[in-house]
Amino acid sequence: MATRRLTIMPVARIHGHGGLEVTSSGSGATAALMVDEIPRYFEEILVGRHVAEVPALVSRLCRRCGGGHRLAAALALEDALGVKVSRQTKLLRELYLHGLFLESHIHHFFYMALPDFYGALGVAELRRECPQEMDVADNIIALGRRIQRFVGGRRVHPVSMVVGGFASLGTSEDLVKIGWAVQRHLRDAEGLVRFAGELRTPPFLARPVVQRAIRPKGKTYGHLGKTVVTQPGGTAALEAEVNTMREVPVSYSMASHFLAGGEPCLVGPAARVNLGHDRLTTRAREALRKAGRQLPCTDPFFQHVARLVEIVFSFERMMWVNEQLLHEGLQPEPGPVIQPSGRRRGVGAVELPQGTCYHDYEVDGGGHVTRARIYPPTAQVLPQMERDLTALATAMSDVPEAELRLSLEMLVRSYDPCFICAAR
Amino acid sequence: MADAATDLHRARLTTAAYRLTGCGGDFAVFDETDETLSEASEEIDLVYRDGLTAPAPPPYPQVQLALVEGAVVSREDERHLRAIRESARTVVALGTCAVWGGLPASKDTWGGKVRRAVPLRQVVPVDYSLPGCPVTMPQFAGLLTSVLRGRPLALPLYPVCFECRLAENPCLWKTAPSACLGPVTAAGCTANCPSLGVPCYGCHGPAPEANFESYLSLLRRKGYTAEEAVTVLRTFGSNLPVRLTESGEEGE
Repeated sequence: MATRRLTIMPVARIHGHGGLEVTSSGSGATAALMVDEIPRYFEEILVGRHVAEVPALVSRLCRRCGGGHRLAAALALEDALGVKVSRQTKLLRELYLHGLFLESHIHHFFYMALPDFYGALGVAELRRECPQEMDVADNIIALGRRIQRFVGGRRVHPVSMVVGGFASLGTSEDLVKIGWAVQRHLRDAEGLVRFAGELRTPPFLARPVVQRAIRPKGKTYGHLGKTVVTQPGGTAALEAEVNTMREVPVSYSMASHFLAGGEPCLVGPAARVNLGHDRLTTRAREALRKAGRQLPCTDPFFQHVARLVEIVFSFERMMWVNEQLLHEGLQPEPGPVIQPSGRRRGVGAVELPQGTCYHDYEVDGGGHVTRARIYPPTAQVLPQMERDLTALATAMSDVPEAELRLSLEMLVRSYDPCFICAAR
Repeated sequence: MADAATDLHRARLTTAAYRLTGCGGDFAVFDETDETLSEASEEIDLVYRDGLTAPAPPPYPQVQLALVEGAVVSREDERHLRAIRESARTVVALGTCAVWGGLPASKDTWGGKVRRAVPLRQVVPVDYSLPGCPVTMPQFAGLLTSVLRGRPLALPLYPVCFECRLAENPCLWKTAPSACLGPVTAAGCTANCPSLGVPCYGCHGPAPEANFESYLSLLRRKGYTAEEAVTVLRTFGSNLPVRLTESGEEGE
């Protein structure tokens, strides 16, 4: 068999510029993902900055999950400064992440991934093909944005979340309205899981995979916590986890790969659901069961189903969070007290839609950052994506090129990568 | 630009949205369902939007309006921008990265290497500039109106402090743990951050009417060293209309 080289540059409908190249010959295939975003060197920008300025700066990493980076930075700096936050702050931060997941997961699935399943039609055609689902999607996206605006003060590059808590709060009236909207759309979200479960995806060979996600405290599923679970492997504290992480520059891509323990790993929705499905809320677990996947499911296309299961979870969980906040009443938060005490290191992490995102800072006695490290989820998952592209190209070596191209693009989109964050 | 105005009577304005090096946050204005905007955007036919429409250029669609966000950081950005300029009748620098260089321009040296992020106007002629990180909806709607009518865009000359006083916010200068850039930052955000209890980070870039010399001495009195003061002032771009002689750095 002759050597065949297939280049897709750029891949459309992903976040950021980049593409892929697959070279196949008789002896097998190799795949490379080329991130074509120029690094903005955020880690260097942050050095010398006062800790109070950091969250606003890191939110500029990304238009979609900037608020998540903002939160990860606040958590890391609170760890470094020994700041404790109120229960209300924790609840509001969780609510924020649910809003972010609603917008990001649903927007990605319907506007970026779904056109592939309908012969790469535009959004206008999609609306004719599945009008009901698109309406539901738009409602959920709007609700997600509304929640982010409520907690963060504005949607893109939110403002209110600061080190130590919140600089300002929304009104109880808005909180009540959000509660109603959540209740109204829960059933719609369940329907979407069924919809995603029925889509025909490209073939995939089962493969062993290392999976990693934050393990929340207690028995709940979630996006925040101080330990990370790796399977196969075990649990580790956040700081121990980032200590094992190596940054490997790659010659063909503007984004380095992050490897923990030297092995490619899976982070993101499928890893979270595989590792924490027994912790999901009732209706999310039921929706997952009805989707009929054997768990753990390592098919990368399972990530679409996992995303929508996570949305059902977010809806159920938001009802609880909303109730707690309303029951206790929104209390003004005292201004954040920042009292640096010598040189300290702090690590914080949140689950972003794409996977675990760690922020790691060292702060000096004057409250200025002396070292900053950001571990975006896409940079952690790039090696696994390349491995999967290789496997898919090998499995589909005898199909027509057009079909292979589409399948490779669909595989990239199943990961919902953010090349902008990855290059950071 | 005059042609754009006459086209109004014939067809919608063909528009392409491009991103150089930046987060893409300014295009989020297209996702909002805002009444002010939806009326103006009736007049727009978005033929290309970075990341969402396939395939990506080249070839560059010939358009009447190109909205460009992000700073020019690489040779590739520069080539991309020149091609955009040739394909579009009107070019808009959208957002602070495109107008001032933004966060990527806040430092010149990276790991010992000199690398400058520059605003669009240092590479090609730009017809309109709208700063903001991200740009605000009312200002974006105002921009579209100006483009459609072929009129210059009027932006506030006064700083954020002016809008902050109108909003009756308590001043954050003394209470906030970091410096408020309100006194020197262009208004137009209706004092968004200070109204939410957070000091201004200067995301709209320098205000034409601001007194930088006086602001520098305020920072010094707050305990900032000359170097720290420059770092703060450069947060959202390097082209300050002030000579920062104390540290040996010079602005425009």
